[in-house]
Amino acid sequence: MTNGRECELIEDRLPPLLENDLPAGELILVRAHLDDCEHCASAFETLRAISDSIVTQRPATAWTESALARAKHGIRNSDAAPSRVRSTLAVGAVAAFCVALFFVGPPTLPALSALADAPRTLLTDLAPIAARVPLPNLFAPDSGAPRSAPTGPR
Amino acid sequence: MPSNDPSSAHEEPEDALVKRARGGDDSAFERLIDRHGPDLLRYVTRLTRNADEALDVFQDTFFRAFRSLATLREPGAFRSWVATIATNMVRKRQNRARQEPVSLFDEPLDPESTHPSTRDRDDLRSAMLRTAIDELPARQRAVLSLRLEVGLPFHRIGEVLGITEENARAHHYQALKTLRRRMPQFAERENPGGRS
Repeated sequence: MTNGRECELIEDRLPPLLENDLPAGELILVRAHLDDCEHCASAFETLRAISDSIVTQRPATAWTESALARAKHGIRNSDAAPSRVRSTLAVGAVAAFCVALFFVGPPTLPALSALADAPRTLLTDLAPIAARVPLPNLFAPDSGAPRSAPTGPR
Repeated sequence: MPSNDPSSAHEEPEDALVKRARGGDDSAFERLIDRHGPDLLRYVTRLTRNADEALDVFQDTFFRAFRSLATLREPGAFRSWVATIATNMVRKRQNRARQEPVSLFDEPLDPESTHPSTRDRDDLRSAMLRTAIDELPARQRAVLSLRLEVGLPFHRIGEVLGITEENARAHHYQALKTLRRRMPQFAERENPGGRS
């Protein structure tokens, strides 16, 4: 029989002992304690019995089989896995594109061309407007006169 | 130690089954259901503590797995991957149930709907153990089931639950300690002298 303090320390190490998770040094100490301490040996046996019971406890076979059958049925009745759907769609799309290329020829993209020309068109359209608007030439050589706010007709 | 090793030597390797399933072989995916379904069902039942919920989550889990099999990075890790899907599904249901006063993880136990599979034939000792497990905190319950019923190593349990390996270990040990304290006579009652 050993003292309560030591038993408390050992108790913390019983679950790792069950999982073969104790460092070698501690394993020797714990084993030695269990050989001497009936209380802790009994606690370890209880722990092992609980663990074994959880591992071996199974739901009723009929219930499990019914659940498995439901899961399989759900899959059989689904259209297909998306991975398969995706690959089928991808192959279909490539095939359709190839057929279209064969019969129609390379696609012309007027809309894209127009889009590419847009900046140039915009500048051309804006040029007359820009010509009518007097813009100060900020980079003109300074005449020496003090700058003042433009004065319009009052 | 968990005895339910999913990859027995005589069975087709996990990654081969996954590859065949990805290639469109539905029978390969059904083999995966047969191989992992029973233990996953136990896990889901532990999480939900409700047989009807467990069945729904179980079916949805495999359906989701089937649809997204292409995203599985490690074909050899199907078991933990599908456990992750199940965990996320239970969490989603829990989040949906948040508007109600009690969440799914912590709802009061319904003795009629919990584990109907075994309630008729179990003895008192097993029933007490089930109740004690059901009353564990949700995370400890999940870790305990993933370790002992699904048979995952701690690093995989960490991945499934989004916690560290050490954290998973600590939860497992704490769960075992709690169960032993709740049922100190568990080993003795197993003897022939006790109730059989």
